[in-house]
Amino acid sequence: MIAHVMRLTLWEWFKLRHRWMPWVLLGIAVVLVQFGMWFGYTAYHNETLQEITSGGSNSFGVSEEVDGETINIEVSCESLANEDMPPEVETLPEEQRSRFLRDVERFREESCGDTALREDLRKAFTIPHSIANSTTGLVSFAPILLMILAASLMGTEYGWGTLRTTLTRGTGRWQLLASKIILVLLTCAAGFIVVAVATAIASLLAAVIPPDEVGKLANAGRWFDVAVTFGKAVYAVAPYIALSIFLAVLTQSAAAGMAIALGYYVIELIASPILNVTSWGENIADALLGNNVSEWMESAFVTVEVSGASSTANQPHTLQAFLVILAYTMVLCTAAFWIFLRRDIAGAKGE
Amino acid sequence: MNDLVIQTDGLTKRYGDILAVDELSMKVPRGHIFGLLGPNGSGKTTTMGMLLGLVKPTAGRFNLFDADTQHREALSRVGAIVETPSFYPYLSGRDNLAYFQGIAGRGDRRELDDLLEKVGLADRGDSRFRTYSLGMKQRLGLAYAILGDPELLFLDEPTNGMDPAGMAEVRDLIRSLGTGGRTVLLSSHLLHEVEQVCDSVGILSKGKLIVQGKVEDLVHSREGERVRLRTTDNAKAVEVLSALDWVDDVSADGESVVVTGPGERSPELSMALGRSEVYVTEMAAEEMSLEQYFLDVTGDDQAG
Repeated sequence: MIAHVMRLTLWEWFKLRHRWMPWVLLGIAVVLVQFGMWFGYTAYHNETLQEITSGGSNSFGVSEEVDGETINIEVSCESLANEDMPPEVETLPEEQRSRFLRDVERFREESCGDTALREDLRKAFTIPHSIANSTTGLVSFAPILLMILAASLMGTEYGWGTLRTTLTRGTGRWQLLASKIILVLLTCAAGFIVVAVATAIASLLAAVIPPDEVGKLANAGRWFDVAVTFGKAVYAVAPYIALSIFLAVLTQSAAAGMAIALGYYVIELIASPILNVTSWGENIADALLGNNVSEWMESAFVTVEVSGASSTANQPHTLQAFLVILAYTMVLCTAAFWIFLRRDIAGAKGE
Repeated sequence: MNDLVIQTDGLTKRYGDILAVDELSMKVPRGHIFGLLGPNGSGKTTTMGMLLGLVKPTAGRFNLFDADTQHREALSRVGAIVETPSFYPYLSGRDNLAYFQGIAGRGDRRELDDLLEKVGLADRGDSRFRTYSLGMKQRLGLAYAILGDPELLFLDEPTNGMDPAGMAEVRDLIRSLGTGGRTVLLSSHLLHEVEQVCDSVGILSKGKLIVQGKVEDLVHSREGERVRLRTTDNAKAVEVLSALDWVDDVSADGESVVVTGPGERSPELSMALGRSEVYVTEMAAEEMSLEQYFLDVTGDDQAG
């Protein structure tokens, strides 16, 4: 029986690889992740972009009254890094000079002392962290691509009427559905690998492009964290695949399956922050898929910091996230099988 | 070995208030080409759907091959076209067949070449299915149906969309498929096609099987029931014969009068007309066709 399902999966891949859709979706994933990585690279080398990324200013200025005369003093992060203090500082009275130096020190800590930010930016294009980073980034939009793929894979069978053709040869209903779910998961894993390889190649490329030296850029994070992140990412997208397959089976349509699944995804994104305003709403938000997936992915970085990670104050715990994701996946898959095994198979719907 | 390949017992399918198939009990013998006839909506495709596991019966049961054979295992010995053949539009005809061959656990590329040759698609086998005409789709459907040399074939309107030459080719193909112990269940709108190809038929009307038997037996059972007369006064002949209580139907048809009634009483027609001074100049029993038989037994329903 397992051999039969594996054979079906293999032949499902035969069909899938002849379609444009999976390759286009993979291309989108690679391009978006590459964009993120090279943005990090550019920001690392560009102070203005660093300011935007850090959300702060890159210079600090004050106006002081000395003997009825206004003195404007401005220091930049770059001048502070070079220990290059403006000469006007020496003209300030002792009290004003002390206050100014305290303010400068605060500025250095808050805006220029952002070594952590620079380190995060560096990691974004340095292997192996860049791979883990790209995988995490991928999870933020991969559900959209995978929901399109899964709904299409199942829904077009109804639209073209090919379910009839396939099932009249003793293929077996649950075996066919299982093979499709396995195929989407495997395709997802393969897609993540392709994106990871592309990121690794790009990271190595970034390492040899001046002005950085290879030795500095080829060491960030641990390979173990990359493996953990990879596994967690595939687990995190599983409920979205299940949701899309379930909806395609329920509606017997690729278009309806995609539309409803994507609609749910967007509504959840909007509803989650609104629900978090109240305590009872927070409890509901804790059960939503998106919040749990976020928590689950952030928990992947035990030792590797994620740049720009959002606050986890309103997010569920990791174990809860694991269980919620599992529950969504199991319930949606069970429902899809239940319907698919019982419902009559009609002819082509012409989608 | 069981001599019945398909056996249904009280098979019923209901869609809400609509009874699509009503307690169908049908037997299809091994090695027969069995025609399933009926007007539109009589339940032919639903019956095929139930036998092929696509439609869940509301009641009743059925066996393919024999009672001990699991349905999924039985389906692996079946080939089928149900309604318009549906394939993956972005794959070529050959790749579509390769897929269905592959999921069945086989992989002989020569079989695909032979099948495409047999159905006349050898030169278009590598074109995408979406570029096929309806006739070509039907041909690919036939190739799919006979893929793996199945013991039982379900063919639902296999010549739909084909040109006359193609229809003749397919008829020959179906006849050849019916040899060597293979059983074919054929549903067709074209009654003369069924008459030419099938050994036996079952006629469905409003979901019920109203008659089943060998084509020859069914047609002969009604032979002599329709008599065509030429008389000296056709109008008066219609009037006289309509008055006979044992005559089922009388109608004027051009220069003839067509009378339907028990064949053994046809000599009484000339006696009755003679008494009214109408004389018979020509009288012949009409040869019954399957189409006429079908129209007789299904009443006012349109052939479908």
